[in-house]
Amino acid sequence: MQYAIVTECNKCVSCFACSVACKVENNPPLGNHWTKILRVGPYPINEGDVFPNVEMYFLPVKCQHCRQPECVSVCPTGASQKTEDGTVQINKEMCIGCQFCVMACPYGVRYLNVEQKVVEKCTMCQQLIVAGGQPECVSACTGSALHFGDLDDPSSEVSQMVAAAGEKVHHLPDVGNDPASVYILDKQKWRL
Amino acid sequence: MAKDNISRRTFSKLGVAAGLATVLAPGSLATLKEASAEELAADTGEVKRIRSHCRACGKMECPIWVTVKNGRVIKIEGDNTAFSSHGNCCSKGRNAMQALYHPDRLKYPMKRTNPKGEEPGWVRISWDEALEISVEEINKIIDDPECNGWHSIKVLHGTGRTTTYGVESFTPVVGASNQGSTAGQVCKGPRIATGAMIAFASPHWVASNDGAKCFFQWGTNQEVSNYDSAGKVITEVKFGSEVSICVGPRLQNLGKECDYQLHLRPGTDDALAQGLMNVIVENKTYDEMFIKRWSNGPFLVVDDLEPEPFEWINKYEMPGAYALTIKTRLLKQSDVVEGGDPNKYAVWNNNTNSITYWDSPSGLWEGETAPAYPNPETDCEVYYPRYLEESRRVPSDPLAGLHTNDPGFPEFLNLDPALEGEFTVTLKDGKEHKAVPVWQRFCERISYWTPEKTAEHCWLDADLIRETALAYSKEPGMGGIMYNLPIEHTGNAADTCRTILCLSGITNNVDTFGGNRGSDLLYFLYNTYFQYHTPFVTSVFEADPIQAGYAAGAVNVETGEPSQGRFPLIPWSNQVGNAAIIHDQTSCTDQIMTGKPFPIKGMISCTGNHFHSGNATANWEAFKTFQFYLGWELWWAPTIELADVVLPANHFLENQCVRASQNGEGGFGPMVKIVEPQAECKWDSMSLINIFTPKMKKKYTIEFNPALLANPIVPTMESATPGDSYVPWWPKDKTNVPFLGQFGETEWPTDEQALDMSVITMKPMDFMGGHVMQAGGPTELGMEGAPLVFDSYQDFCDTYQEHGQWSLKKMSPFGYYKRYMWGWLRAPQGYYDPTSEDYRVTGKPGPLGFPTPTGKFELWSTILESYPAQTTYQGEQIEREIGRNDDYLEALPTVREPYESPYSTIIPDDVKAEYPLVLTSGRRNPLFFHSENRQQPFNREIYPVPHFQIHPDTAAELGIEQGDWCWIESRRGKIRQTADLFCGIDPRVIEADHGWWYPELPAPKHGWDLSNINCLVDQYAQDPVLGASSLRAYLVKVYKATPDNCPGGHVVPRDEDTGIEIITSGDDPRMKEWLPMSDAEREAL
Repeated sequence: MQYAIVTECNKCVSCFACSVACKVENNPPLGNHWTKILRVGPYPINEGDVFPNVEMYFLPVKCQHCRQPECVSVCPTGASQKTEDGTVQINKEMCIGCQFCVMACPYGVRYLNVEQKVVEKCTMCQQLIVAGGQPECVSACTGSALHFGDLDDPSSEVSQMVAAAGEKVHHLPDVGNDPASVYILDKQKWRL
Repeated sequence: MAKDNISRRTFSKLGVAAGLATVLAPGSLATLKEASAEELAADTGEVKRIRSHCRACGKMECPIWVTVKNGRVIKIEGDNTAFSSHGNCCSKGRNAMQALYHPDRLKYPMKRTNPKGEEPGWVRISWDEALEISVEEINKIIDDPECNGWHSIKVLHGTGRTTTYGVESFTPVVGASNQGSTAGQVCKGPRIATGAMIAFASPHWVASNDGAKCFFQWGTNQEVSNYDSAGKVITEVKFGSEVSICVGPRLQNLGKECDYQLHLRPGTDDALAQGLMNVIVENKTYDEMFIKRWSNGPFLVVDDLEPEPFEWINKYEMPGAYALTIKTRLLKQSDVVEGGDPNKYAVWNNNTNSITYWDSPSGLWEGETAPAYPNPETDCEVYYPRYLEESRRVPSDPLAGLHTNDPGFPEFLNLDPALEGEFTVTLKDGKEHKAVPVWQRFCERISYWTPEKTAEHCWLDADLIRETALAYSKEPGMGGIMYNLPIEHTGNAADTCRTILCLSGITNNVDTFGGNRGSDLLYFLYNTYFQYHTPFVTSVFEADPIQAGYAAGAVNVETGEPSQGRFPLIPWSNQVGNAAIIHDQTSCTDQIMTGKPFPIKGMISCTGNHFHSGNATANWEAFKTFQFYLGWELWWAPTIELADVVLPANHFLENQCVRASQNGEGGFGPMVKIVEPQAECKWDSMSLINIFTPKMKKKYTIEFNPALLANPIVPTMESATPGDSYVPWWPKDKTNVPFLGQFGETEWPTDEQALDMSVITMKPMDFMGGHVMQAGGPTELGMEGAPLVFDSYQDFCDTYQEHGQWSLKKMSPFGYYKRYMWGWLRAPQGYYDPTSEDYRVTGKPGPLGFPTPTGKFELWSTILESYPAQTTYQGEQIEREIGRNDDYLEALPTVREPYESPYSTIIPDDVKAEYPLVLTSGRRNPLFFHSENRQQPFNREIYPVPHFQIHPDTAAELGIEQGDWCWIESRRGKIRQTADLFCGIDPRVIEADHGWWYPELPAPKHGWDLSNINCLVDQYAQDPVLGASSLRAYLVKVYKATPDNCPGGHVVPRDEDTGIEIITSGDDPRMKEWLPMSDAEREAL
């Protein structure tokens, strides 16, 4: 089982509803952003192109719930764990706030909660999905760009989307951690 | 350490145990932590989920679900069943709790103790004392012999929220003409008014969620904006469209996905619209039947006609009837024969080779005795949005709409009006004159704007213009054009708006399914009286329309004559104003400072500020001089720091009122009061009306029109004796207003009574033609629609909890399109005749056609022809018009170069050299609504400082790197923002954020002058028709902020007096203090 979020990048309009909804739902400390939106570009469409022949897309970035999570490997206490549903979770009672995981994560999506002295990150809204709901960012998305489901179940909506997208499927750069989350990008060139 | 975990576990259990919807219960997690200790202890309390409408931005009507636990709002989410919003709920709505419970909310009445411009030294007072002071001080100004009564009080309000209705109702009651909403003149005002001039009010509102074939946004990014269909609807509609077009200077968030992206030079929208029409005319891809039958394209222009003036009244909006004087060179019966009718317009009938007349008031062609309605059986079909799944394609679906195919001219008329040719007509002077159809003149006017010429002017590619025009006109009715604010901000607002509307018109996209359908008419939609007008009062402006002409910009500064000023169409525009009632901000600020032609010495505001229109600095200096200023507010925002007395206003979650889509979506339902107002807050609108206004002295003195006094449907006039009269909000004697009977003798309704009135008016009753709010007419459900009936506002709210949003499309005449073919765009002919049985009747169709002087969609604008545009700038004659090779002036669309541009002929070359960049501004930031939300931590932390976008090549030339603080400077002022290097913008253009101030900096300024882009505005660079100031498309220079060029050597902006720096990052400890917390938690910080 591998819960993940599939993002149709073309439909992301960078409205930040996901970022704010995540804050409201999960209340990470101010300055910590469990889900954020990156603007990729604009870049010349082809080399040498100038305005207006440029293109860009938006990339909602959060914990990728990797299949081979480096953050779990480096955790000295076992606080960071890969769970049965495929999500990566932090047991805060075991976390000592050493931040090895923060350094190990290639995507910069883990944050130290200074007050509680523990590391935090996107939990895929565990509190919602265990009750059959979906992550708050997915519910909040105003572009209908975010989709949640089990990528290991070939009949799931997300698996079917990924299968149908073919070569348009992308992942954040993989440095051996095998990020689970999927990005689908049509029209523009993937530039990561 | 594990506080968070414990809460989470505890709460998950609670949620499951309570058996609540899974998305509901755990959502309380965040706010649980923010709740007080007592609330935590009482954690077993009641959880309620209330269906309501959001109002966290100014314009959306998003239906929402609000979760309340222990009396505290803990979650806001979109209502997925809402057809008008598709369940949208943006960052501002989801986080509205941080505004509601913000520690800096204004909660008590206050009065100042220090002079204006200093730290005000606010002290808390009682409501009674606040009112006592205010009534005395406002009366002093009204009594002042130097002043002009209520015209000497400026009335200000913010963006259309629950905060605007009071001021918009109050002004006609007391007769205060100087109402200027913050935004009206630069937001919607010109679009609404020019729509009313040539078609009908508010046609810029597109029925976008109809899912048209063509997605076309012009000067807007609605995906992150604040219109009814913003966000979710727009992205879904775009991805469901066949072809998509986006016009705007920059690469945009959703625009980047469009098939045709036209990144034009700021301020050249007028030329582009003509250029696109030029291609459509060349290729004959316009809709000829629409032009012949419904536009004034076939009307005949006689160049050497000496026009005789006649009066025309727009029988369209209630209340009031502001007459315009029309002088047109269109050929009328009165020009041909002595004693002829000026309302009969001539066309050349190709079939008979002779003149035939269209009678505008009756909407009939010569030879017709009754309207030629389409046949519902053969001419109508139900349309569904392209994105709608098959299973929902049934007429009862809220998204289904009734489309009408044009059956054409009735055969017996034997009519084929000529669109081209030169005809000889004999006028009543006995001489022969040459007459040419409007369409030919229209085509000649736009012939200047070839694709090549347009491309050069607009900095676009000629082929792109050609392809876009042909894609849009592939067939008639491809979809409406969503044209929004920017086109009102470049010194040619009225003309640009109407030109784009003409483009939509000639391709048959006006009043169509998915087209420029406009909102539902004030005239039919009764609830809006509650919001914007007083239905049972003969307002001072109706009794004596000339009083409206004392508005700044409309009154002549030299002579003091009403309606003889620089912008004589302003009072008329207010009457069709809907939510955008305006005066001229620039003239008002000057009037405050000079006292000419009479002083404006006081102000009453319900929110609103000084930096969204005109020049911010000039407005601030003017507002500082007010003898007395009373304002309702939620925050210590900069402008309110100039007030004398401040009253605390409710947040939208503490208010309730009727909500209806502004767009053509037709969504309808209540905003429900979620929580009780905090401390001493009140609903500003109603407290202005039912607490403040009754205490005012009866000051208004005019001679009321005896015809109105005798009118049985204006019962308030019975108590309004001429001389020293004063009209209450409701009539004491309600005999003639049957549905008000239940309220006894009440003249000043309580909040509850006003709310009840707003829904009981929907009931069918023997008054105003049998329907007050809902009238019969065809819908896809049959000829009578499905009216709603409620007994009280509470009943309305209760029913809504179960039902959810209603579709006005299922009622009529809201439900269908091409209203001009059915008589639902015009009032019956006897509407203003007290002796007619149709006097003030709203329940039946009027004449066919459009509510314009000619009764047609006016390609040739008779109103703009009659009221020529201003040709002066700061007293000097100027010429900005381009490509106008005829002398029809404003009758036909006119292109104007922005006042300050690289090609402007009215500024010297050295200015162009010193200020080489074209500035545009006002890009929507999805985290903020204009100046709002800067003190809400979850919004501000994502975007702590203002940005401007600049092309990397330009930045490199200037030595500017990503994130650098820079000065942006115009000839008027300079401010600082941070650079965002963005190659999706022309190297000759920059785009700067608007609306900035810094709540973290001290009173009185809160840093508004540090980064607010409107400090740079030339308030005299105005639209020559309606006065909208050029908030974009002017020249600036940009340079890096360095210790050498910054006050005190501080590159990051700070308050000069105290040295306090602005917040520049999300982890600034001051942000933490803005989180909603209990006092104990705050002290522990």
